[in-house]
Amino acid sequence: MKPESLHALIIDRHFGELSPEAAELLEHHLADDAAARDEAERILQSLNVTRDAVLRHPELGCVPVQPLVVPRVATRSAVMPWLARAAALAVLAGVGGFFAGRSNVEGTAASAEKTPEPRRESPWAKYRMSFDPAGEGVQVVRVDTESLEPRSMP
Amino acid sequence: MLPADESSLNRVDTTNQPPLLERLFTESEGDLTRYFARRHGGGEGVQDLVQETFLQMARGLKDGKSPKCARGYLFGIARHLSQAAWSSRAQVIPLNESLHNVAAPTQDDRVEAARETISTLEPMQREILDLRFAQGLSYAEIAEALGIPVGTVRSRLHHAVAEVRHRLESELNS
Repeated sequence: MKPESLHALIIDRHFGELSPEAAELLEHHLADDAAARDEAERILQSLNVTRDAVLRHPELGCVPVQPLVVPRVATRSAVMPWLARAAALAVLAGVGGFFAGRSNVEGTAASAEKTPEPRRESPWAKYRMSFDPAGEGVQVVRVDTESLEPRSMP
Repeated sequence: MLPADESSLNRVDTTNQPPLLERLFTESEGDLTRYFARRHGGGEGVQDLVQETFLQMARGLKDGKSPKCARGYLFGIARHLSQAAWSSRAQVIPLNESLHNVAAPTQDDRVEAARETISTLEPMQREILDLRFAQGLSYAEIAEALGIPVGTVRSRLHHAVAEVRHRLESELNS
């Protein structure tokens, strides 16, 4: 019998995990082979020392704990920073768009041609806020999407 | 502690026997208490964990679960609860740090050598050793508790003992 097989059989028998037939065969083998008996004795000694170590040191069985994956619940404190960030982005985008539109409308017809085509379904498809170059303040400017020429509202 | 495969818990219910959960409680409550006490020390918290284990077992049975090995399934629940308790309390004890209030001091160099060897094994292997030696679970029960094949339990156990033996022989020769 291979030493590995004997090792496995002795341990399984010790734990009562060997079938009666296999246990009987093992007994016969040990009865016939003195070297196998000595080897079995050494295996059992190792087994007992292992058991003593485990019993005396419970920390060995306390394996490192895998952190539990808990889904994050959206709390007020977690949501508010998002809202704040979204609002800040919206304001920035609005201001940016406003100044972009101002520079386009203030220019000539050639510059108006550079104006991106407004969305037709929007109320601002044909109009947008603009500063009067003559210093009259803010005015509503119609953007003719056909000719792309801005015209002042009456 | 029960002999593994001969435990009535691993057999099918019959009419004259008390319900599975009742038998489980009667036969395994002590083992579960020792299991949790070994991991978390004494105190009322241990009894809470034992009760919670049986509660979850009852829920599982009510939901139609039919584990192959009831006691192994019970210890599987206990294991999860133990880990959750450790996580929630952040009581992760470093591996090389002994539980001085639980572990008895030893002067046996061979046991110390075995302890060092076992501490180098992978966590699953150490847990198998603990469930086998300290809790007396069978291979099948350990497999059910850890969710691994029985053959893996057997081979890891054999390997662990072989490692300890190798270490002891090395020390003896040196």
